[in-house]
Amino acid sequence: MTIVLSEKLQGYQSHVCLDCHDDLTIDVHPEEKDEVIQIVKKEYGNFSEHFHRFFGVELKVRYNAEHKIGRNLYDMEKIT
Amino acid sequence: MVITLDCETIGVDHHHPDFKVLFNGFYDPEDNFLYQGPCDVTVTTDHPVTFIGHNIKFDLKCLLKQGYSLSDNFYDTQVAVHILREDLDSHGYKLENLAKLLYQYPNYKKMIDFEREEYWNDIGWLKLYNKHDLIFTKQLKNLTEPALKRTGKWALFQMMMEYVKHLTTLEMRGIKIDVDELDRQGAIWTAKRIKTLEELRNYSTKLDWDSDTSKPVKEYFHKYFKVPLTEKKNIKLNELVLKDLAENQESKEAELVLILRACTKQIGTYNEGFRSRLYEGYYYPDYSLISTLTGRLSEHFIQVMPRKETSEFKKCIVSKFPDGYLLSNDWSRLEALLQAELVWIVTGKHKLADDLMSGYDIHDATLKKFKFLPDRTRAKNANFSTIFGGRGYTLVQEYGFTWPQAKEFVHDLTVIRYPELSELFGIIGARIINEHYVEHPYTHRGRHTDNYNEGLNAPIQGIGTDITRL
Repeated sequence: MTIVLSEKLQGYQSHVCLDCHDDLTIDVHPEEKDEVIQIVKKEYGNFSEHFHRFFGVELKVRYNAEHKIGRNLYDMEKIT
Repeated sequence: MVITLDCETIGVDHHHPDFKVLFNGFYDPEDNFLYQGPCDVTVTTDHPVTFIGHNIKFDLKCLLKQGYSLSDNFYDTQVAVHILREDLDSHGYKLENLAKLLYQYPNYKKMIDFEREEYWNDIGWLKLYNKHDLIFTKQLKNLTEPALKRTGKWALFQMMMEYVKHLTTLEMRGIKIDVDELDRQGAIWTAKRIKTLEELRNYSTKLDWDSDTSKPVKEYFHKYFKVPLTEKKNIKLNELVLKDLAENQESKEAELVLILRACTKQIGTYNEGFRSRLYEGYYYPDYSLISTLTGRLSEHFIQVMPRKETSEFKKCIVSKFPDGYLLSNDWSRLEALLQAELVWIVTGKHKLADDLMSGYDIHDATLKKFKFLPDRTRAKNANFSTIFGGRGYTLVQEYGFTWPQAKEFVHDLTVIRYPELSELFGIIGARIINEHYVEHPYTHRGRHTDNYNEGLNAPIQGIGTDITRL
């Protein structure tokens, strides 16, 4: 989701900062917190559409992501 | 307008204080070579420019360091070759080696002694070298583009080029590191290592123990605890063996060596590793796109960072904004779902996908059926090992099954409960034998292999990697 989220966060101060394993981390400006969480959840939810855009294929399975937020990469809380 | 690009630098990291671009080499559509000094690039055209480069991320970062903004179109010949031939070793993707492999051209890099200090000042040699790089980059573009299109890999390549653009930006931004926390964590782990080493030396005076992976340490465990030999007759002393010794043979040495190894890893990777590439409180990652067969990224320290909350060094990675946050996003059960999808599209059967999507607990079902499994975690490990094509070896070697139990387990999961798995393994297995090649039907990222287990896993590893990039 590096490409999609980098595109969607254009115009925001928040940005993708780390690509590690399957995990993508976003550095979030405090004033943009709620908005960025909404964008991220929405785009992960639209993953099938994004996949179709790149590969022209309809996915059959639903994929879900877990989102966590914190002041550092260790002390994080799950977002429900 | 298409321009082949290759920037020459003095060979240090882009963010190192001494970093310097010596010149930018261009090869334009009219076959003109242009060499321009740093901050002196004048690519003026009314048409959009497509930059062709070999490992173009490096050159794009050079342009950004000189104040340019990124164009939208790139063609990275190194990524193109890697998609087509993922099985070369990492040196094999260097231009001079590809020139030799594909065009039988002598290794022109050997014309220059890179160890010589004068090399960096010898602009004549550098330009000659650069010219060869540009010529072969252009030739590789002409060679790979039709091959990518012919083999159905063009969409994958285009996605990769978009990814390269964003990855370049990400690398240039860097990651904010809390240096005080890094100091604190470094001190904690260093003290822990010293204490553990002292304890080991007090417990057994037969060895110095300073290197926890050395030959004498392995020989010690082989002699006193009969640890197994590998197929090549080396002494196997990995984490699993040490854990087994600590738990089942009550080896205090094994327990302490495990702690020592953890300390060494934490100190080496994070305390020393991060610090060695830290510039003014930022770590600038340098991802390699061609170092793994699966297409997975590799990076000096980021990719070896343990998943989840296993390393308190993760406390050092913070937001660059005052009072800012880090938002982490991770797929749930990604590989299991991808395998279920692959099963579905290859065999047309989707019970596994339905069960996974509906929340049906297949691990709990396994636990209930196989009473010898101690807990749900073991059931989950055994399920996944088998779903990804394991034929029992891992169940026996790592999860404590007997061979009859392992055989019964694999049969139950892949023939009785989810027969579509057996069908998938059969189809992929036949392709490995007949074509020595497998690929994912969606992205067409492939793997040249004769190895059954490697071939079964390759499509999932490949698409799992690409999915995180979109």
